[in-house]
Amino acid sequence: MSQVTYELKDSLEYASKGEKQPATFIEIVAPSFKQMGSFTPIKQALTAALSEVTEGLDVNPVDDKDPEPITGPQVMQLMHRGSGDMTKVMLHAQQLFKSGVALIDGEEKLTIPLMDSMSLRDFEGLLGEYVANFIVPSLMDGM
Amino acid sequence: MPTQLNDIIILVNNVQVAYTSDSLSWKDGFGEYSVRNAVVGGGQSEQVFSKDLASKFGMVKFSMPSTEDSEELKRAWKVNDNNNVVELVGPSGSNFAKVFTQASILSDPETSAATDGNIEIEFQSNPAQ
Repeated sequence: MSQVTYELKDSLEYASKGEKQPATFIEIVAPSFKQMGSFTPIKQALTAALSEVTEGLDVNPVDDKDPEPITGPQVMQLMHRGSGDMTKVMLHAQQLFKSGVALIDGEEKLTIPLMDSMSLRDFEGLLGEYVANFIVPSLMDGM
Repeated sequence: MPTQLNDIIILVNNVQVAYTSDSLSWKDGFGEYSVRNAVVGGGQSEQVFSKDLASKFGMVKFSMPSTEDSEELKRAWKVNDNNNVVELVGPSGSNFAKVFTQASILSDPETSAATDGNIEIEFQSNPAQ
């Protein structure tokens, strides 16, 4: 999967083709090595949260041959339950999204001023989708 | 206490612009108004008021330090014809905001390569929203 669409829940306006227009979705694409600096800290935060939450539990990933894929909201819930600093994770996510992996309505780059005007609900939703689709699968590689 | 508008954020096509201090100015685009008198007789006249609709253009003018980033932005805005959007946003806590749509750079902006050189930018646009 190289690209995924996140439907915005709250209103967000952006400039495109000389006009301001309402955005409906954000297209997110898989990261490349260019995004390593912001991608890796998010992956580490997820891994740490997973370890903390599953500590003491008898978890064996090979038990379930066809597990339900984890959703974006579940990922965010999991990461918030970990002891990692979610503020830093959000700031890394901001750097990640502005690097070109997120396009509003599939056409305009998501910039810092646009993220500043996004609702927190949508920003967290977007991050959740990103982690669920591009970071969780990279954790599963080789399991 | 009122605050002087001198700390405004400029966004062009969703991107924040670094500009030279105190260089920003704009026109909302009301256009030129004129009045003349019409004679009604008996030594009297009445005023005829008119708006010059042809001059209803918004304008945003500022200068940027001559850096590689600024030069890249200048070229991108120029070749984007009238497909630019310029937004002015007041500092945190302020309600000040203006949007200039279909903005274009009509002149050929000059870049000064001096130590304290600037790039002068002037957009013409639809009247401010």
